[in-house]
Amino acid sequence: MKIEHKVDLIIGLAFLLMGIILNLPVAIGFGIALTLSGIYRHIKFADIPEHDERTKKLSCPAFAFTLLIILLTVFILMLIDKFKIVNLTVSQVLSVISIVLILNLCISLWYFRRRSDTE
Amino acid sequence: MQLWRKLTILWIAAALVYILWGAAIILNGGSYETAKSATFPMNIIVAVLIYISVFTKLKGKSWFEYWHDERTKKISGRAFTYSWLATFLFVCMLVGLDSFNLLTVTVSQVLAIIFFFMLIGSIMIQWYYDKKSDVE
Repeated sequence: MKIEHKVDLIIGLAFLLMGIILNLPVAIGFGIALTLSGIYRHIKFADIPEHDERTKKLSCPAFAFTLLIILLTVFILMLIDKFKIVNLTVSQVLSVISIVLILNLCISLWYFRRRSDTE
Repeated sequence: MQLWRKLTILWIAAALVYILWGAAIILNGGSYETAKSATFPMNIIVAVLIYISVFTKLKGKSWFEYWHDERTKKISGRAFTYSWLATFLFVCMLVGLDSFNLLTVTVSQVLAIIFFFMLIGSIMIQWYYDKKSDVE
């Protein structure tokens, strides 16, 4: 077992225990996420490296595409706020932007890594 | 056909549309002032097209190809990666500040902050790696 997977599992289980004992929902969520990611990385990357030259090169267009989509999202939200189509609050805007940031990155990473190489 | 010739044809066409539009307004009974104010956006379009075509004629096509070799592609890919990370951390920080009521901002201010942070951040990181001449 690799050292970083061990660190993931230990910190995740510690947060989980702390959340259950002190009754903190945030700590329970953080602990569950870290434990699951440690188990997943241990199963998938047990004897191969997680990052190499090829995956680094393939993930660059995914990040660029995500930034472009975020720019368009911010622009559309600006128009919605300007013409008062929907009454937005600050927390709604921030949650929309963070969900688009993470989901779009996951989808475009999957799409660009499915192809063997970018031209 | 060369690039600057295509752009020249484009701005002459835009200028013709400008003149015809103004003439149509005057022939329909509008005054000269009305025609001037109605076709004002065409001023900017024609000026930008003339500027681009003169710039292309002076620099040549090789100036545009210079920005798309292997090195600049690698640099911009890495710069976009770090820019995504910086934007994500910035949005997380804004969520924290908003949920603990540490600052009071409006929706348009938040959107403008994120927009300019992303644009200026990616340009600055690209400029930094270009000055360093390579990544890593």
